[in-house]
Amino acid sequence: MNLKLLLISLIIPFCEIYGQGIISGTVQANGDNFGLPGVTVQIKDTQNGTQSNVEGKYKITASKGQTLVFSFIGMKTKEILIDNQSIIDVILDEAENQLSEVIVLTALGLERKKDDDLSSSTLIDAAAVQRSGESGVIQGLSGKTSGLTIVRNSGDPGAGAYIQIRGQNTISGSSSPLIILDGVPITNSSSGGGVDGVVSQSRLNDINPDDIANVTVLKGAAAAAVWGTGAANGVIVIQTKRGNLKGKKLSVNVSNMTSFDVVNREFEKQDRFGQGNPLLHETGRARDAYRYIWNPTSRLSWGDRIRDRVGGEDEVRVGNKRFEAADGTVYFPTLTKNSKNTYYDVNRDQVFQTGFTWNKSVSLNFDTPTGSTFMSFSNWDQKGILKANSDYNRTTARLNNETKITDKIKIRINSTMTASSSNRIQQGSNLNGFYLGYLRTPADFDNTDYKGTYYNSDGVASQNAHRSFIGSSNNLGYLGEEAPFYSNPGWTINQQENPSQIYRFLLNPELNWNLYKGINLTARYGFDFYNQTRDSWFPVNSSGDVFEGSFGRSESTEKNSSVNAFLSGTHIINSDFNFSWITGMQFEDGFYTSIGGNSSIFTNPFVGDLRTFGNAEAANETPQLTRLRQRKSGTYAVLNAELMNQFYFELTGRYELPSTLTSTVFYPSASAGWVFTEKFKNNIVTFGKIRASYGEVGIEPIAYASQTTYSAINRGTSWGDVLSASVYGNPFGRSSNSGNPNLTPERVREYEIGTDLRFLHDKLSIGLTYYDRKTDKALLAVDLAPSTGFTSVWDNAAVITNKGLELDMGLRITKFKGIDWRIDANFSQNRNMVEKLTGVKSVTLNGFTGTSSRVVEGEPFAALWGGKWARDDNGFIVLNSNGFPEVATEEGVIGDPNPKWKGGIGSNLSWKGLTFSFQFETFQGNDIWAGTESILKYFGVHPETANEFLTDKEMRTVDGRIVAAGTLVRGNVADFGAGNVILDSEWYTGVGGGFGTVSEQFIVDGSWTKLREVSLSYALPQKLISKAKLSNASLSLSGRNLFIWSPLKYVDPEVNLTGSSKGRGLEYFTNPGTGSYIVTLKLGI
Amino acid sequence: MKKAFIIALSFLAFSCEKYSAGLNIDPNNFTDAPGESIIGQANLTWVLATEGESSRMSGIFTDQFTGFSNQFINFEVYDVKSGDFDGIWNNNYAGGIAQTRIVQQKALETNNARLLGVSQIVEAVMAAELAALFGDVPYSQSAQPVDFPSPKFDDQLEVFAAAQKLLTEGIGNVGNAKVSDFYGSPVFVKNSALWSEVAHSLKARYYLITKEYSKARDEAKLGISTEDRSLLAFHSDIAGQGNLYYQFGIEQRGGYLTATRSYLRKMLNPSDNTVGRILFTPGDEVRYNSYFQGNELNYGVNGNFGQAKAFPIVDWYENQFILAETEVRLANDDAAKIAFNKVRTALAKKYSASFPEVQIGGNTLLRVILEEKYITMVGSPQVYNDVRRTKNLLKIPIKNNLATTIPQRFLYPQVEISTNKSFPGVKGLFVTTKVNQ
Repeated sequence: MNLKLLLISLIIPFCEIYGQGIISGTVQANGDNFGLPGVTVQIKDTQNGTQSNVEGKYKITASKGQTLVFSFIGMKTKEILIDNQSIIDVILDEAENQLSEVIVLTALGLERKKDDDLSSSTLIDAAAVQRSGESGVIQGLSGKTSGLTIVRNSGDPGAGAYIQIRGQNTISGSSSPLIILDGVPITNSSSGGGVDGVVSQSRLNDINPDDIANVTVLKGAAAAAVWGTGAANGVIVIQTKRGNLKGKKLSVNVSNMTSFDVVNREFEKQDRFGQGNPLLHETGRARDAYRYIWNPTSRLSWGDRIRDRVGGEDEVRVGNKRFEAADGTVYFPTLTKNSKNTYYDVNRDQVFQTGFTWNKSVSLNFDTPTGSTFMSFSNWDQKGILKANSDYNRTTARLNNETKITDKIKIRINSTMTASSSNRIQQGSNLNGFYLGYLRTPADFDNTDYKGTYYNSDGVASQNAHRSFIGSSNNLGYLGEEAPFYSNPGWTINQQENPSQIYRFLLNPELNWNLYKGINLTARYGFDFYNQTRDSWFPVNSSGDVFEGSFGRSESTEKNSSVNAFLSGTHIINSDFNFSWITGMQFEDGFYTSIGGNSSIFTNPFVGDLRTFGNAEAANETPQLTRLRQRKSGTYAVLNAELMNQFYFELTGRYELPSTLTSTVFYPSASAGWVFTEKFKNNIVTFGKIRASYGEVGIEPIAYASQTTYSAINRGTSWGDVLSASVYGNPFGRSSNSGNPNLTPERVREYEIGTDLRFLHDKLSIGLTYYDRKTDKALLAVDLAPSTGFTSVWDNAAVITNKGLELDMGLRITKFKGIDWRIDANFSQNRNMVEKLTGVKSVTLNGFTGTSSRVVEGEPFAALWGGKWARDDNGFIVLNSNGFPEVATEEGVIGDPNPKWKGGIGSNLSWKGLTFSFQFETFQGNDIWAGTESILKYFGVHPETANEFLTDKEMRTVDGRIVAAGTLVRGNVADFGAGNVILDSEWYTGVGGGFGTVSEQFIVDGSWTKLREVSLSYALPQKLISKAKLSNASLSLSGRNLFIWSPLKYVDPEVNLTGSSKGRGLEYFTNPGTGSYIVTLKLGI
Repeated sequence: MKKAFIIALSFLAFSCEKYSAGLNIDPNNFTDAPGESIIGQANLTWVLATEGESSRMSGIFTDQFTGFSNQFINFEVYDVKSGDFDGIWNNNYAGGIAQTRIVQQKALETNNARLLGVSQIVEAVMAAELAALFGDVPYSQSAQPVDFPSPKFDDQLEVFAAAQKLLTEGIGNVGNAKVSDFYGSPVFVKNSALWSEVAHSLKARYYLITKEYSKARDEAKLGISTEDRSLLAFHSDIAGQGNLYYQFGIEQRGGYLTATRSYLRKMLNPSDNTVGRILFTPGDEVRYNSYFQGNELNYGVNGNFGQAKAFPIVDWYENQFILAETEVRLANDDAAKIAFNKVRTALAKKYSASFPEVQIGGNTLLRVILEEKYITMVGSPQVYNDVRRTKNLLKIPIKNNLATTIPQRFLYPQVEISTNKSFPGVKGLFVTTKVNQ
């Protein structure tokens, strides 16, 4: 209410009244009997104007002699001189070339007509980004254009996204495109991305999506060449809003979005067998193989049949030894398990909820004769789908101003400030991870009471005891005797904390000076600074090696500043020839520092809310400091020429020197295009252009890779047991990774050909591009034979190619009884190949010892790698005498996580104030390692393991037992080629489960199709809202990621364990993905 | 016009050089260290090689332990793959030999004979242990990355010979230096151990593996002379300093490695009659409780695998066992009995229980010695060497129903297979190494 008053009071001073007379009328489109809403009606040469309402009616105050200008996108602008009329009805003609006005941004952030552009760059409508209801700018872009892959890491609040243009180019360099915001590069670093810990965020999430005016994706090397090193993964050019309005001095927009998030897919679990194991595991006797016992010290769900239990209360031993939960519930040692209860729903409700997001934003546009201003303020407040410690709160403020100082000088300042805080939940391969403990919990265990007091048999109390289904060693986890083996999910989300706080500040002033006729100087400064604090808190009695408590904190600061100045000129020689040029120089300075420490093994366990260092012996207090400093300077020139209005040429060159190199590098590029419709005009092909380009960009070597270092190396095994150098006299050793002073930048060379076509008066538009891109001298830590004393060395040793086809299509069925209907589709295909990998068979990008995502010669990038079945020369699986497959002694490639093709199709249908839109996105032919499912088979939690059958004949098991006919077996029958064999607990807990050595069997088709979004919005009629002095008001309902079609079961196929790292296709107890229901209300004055 | 651009560009490029020069110097890491410090890394590597994955794998193969859950179920039935051995291999080369070579170079530069000697001893162990477990391994061309990017695989016997030579040189260089005074502390327990005795015991160990029993006996006689001169890894309850069995079993991978059905546990368990001992030993009941707690290893404060429990790297017991076995094999039963009974006396004292002395001789004595060594040296990779060398004289159970022997070697690791052009080819798990053929 107060807001409304404020808005009214703001607007009143600008409402100037002319008494001359009121003119009204209806605007229609030619050939349509319905009014055209949203037409701008402006009095020529003044700031006064209005818009037509939903019925196409308008009303404006004007005087005789003035001219009314009617303009609408897609229509020819019409001017009408006012004589004595008071009613002016207008019929607008459809513009012949409405799409010829589409603007894209070049790599330097300059506007350029799409029709003159020689690259495959595409523009994405900002409205699509804002409609998505995603907290980050980038997540909303997914599926909108060809050649761009956006994958949200997880459903956790504030989770970052993996961004890839075309295919992966580099092994050691960043895989993220260069992000240019308002002409200057900004940081898009992601922290995290291993197999455990918390989900990684992305610094692009710091930008308020509502501030975005448009986004251009530069996919090709030629288009990006002015940025040289750093542009090898393409460029995303983002422009924020400016105070740029039609006919109004002031406008204010208020938006209120609420979103309800739900888990989009969940695992199914068997609830027929309880916690325990086959008696065989204890006795080793074959006859005990199908005798299942309840065993609270077993982490398996291969226990007794729950329905065979007596029922009723468990028989317990009442005595001193007990666990008392916070609410007073007491648990005594169980003597006999009688209860038939199962607790999946209880355990689910303990942790999951409907997530809720509330985003408020206000923006203000203010125009004066000499300038314009855009201001915005927003707050995003999100509570995740987990009941505690999973949230994201972001506040942003922006001030953009453009001021004309003289006719020749213009200055512009864009600035934004972001403060965000978030809490995240541990995930992945992590004894304290959420899904790990949650999914492994047996059906018959109630997780509700996770914290309380344990009393031993003498009645001595231990406070803050942690109750979980499985204890460590021989301890009873359900009494919280000692720290458990797996954390109770209740403990994971309520007791462990992983807060993170970010303050970010971006400032970029720009000067535009028209030096001479046709020659301009542009100078920009960019300052991008953030400070991030991350804590990680494990209270005493958490699982694993932090069971005596651990507190870690790091504070990182990143500062990137850049200066970019260029001269540009345009020279029109005659009507058949003109050219323009740009020459400039650029300095970039990046600085990163992270300081922090860790206290572990608390000496005072009574910490309360205090999170600080000093609560451990000196040896367990470890400080940490990392710094990084990089600079880069470059000069560049761009030359554009246009011949006979149909031939276009562009040459770009860039010299640069990054601090990681000792000599300069040159990056050239050239493009040419022909608009053949200038010559062959016809009614079917309205516009046609063919284009070809060649460009080079690069990736500089990682910092400090030239040196071999010495450090106090801890010596341990892959299981985590370790001898810490710091407590053994801190001896220094030479790193097993050898430095290399002879590194050169990676060089990406790309040819691109394409065409942009429009048919039938622009009803159908097609953009088609083929590219062939090759990265030479890709840098990687090449594996060395460990017997050389080094296990790896940095070297320019790989060649990677990406070839692909990109197709974007738009079909506009405009003006049909007031219905505006548009369909957009895109298709991308990328063939990625690691052509050469010198001196090494594979390089691990991310993952586990058993299953990983690697770079392998002759295979697509990020190929999945792991244990395989042994095969003979004909490719048949080798069977052992038990009839089971044998394990190959060597690991190899087992899958390809890259999609064979991907695409998106969306439609927008509007009628009067109603708009309905949807967007599908699909990935086809990509493999994924279903790690979680494989492990749930091991644990006997997977539904497949709960099957029971009577053997109809004598059969063998994997451990060589012969099972007589007529035996009741829990498991399944399989035939590997030598007749039927039994897959029982020994198969699943052995080679046939996720802890077995053969990950090949868990590679599944990870193709998916998602209904990315569906939205219905309604713009309120003008006559309703004008009473409230509003210029627009709309309400929309959307759903995002609500439907998934995929052969991969139980998980959102998009989640990736290793976040936005280059390792792809790994799924292992990753926090679940989400779908959202979104309600948005927008009001404007 | 174009010319002017190029001139302008190159002028600007020139001025750019100053802007970015001198920044590519690592502000986070050191680029050199003294040999006196680096030797500590080699020592840590030695501890890890003895007490880490090799030890667990050996313990499972020789059925001292049970691979009970998760990935260790596969190890239990010898279902291992090349990648499982990457860590062991990396550790000995990149953590061990690579570092000792640097130490040796720096010791020569600074004329530090003791440091040179210690690094020679550690390097000999790194090479010999690899040869014992893997067979033919790179040594003569190892840790010279520029000259030999693909080191050739030396014959197993040549590696042992080279290790013996290095140990001899080491003994000459260390003089009578104590481990605790020179480059052994704080990785090894502070006691009276002498580098020279340790090295003689190691020579005895490797002669035993190559079945040169007479030489082994002679070296054992010069080897570790009292219990207090044993070389033991130091452990405490500080994070990162705990006994690796404790760290593995309690802190990291609970339940993976147990003694649920293990032969050793059955042998010692007074209430399990399925496996008997040749030598009547009432004290085993006490020892059983020190080793095990239920199905699990005993990780308690007084347990053999407790957090602060020192782990033997090469100790007086091992030396005595070598002495006893070689004397039997050289038909000196009396000398063998004297050596062996010293062990029994020491055990009686250690566990305050009855470990009767032996009177028998001959082949039974040999089995008794090996049996006692199998029990006493729990967790030592040397037990795995013994079982293979003696063609499983103790009849340790074979845990895979399709196998006819216990595994005869560790598989060549994936990391070396993928990278070394001189790699001679994959050898199966049940192919004996040259010393045991």
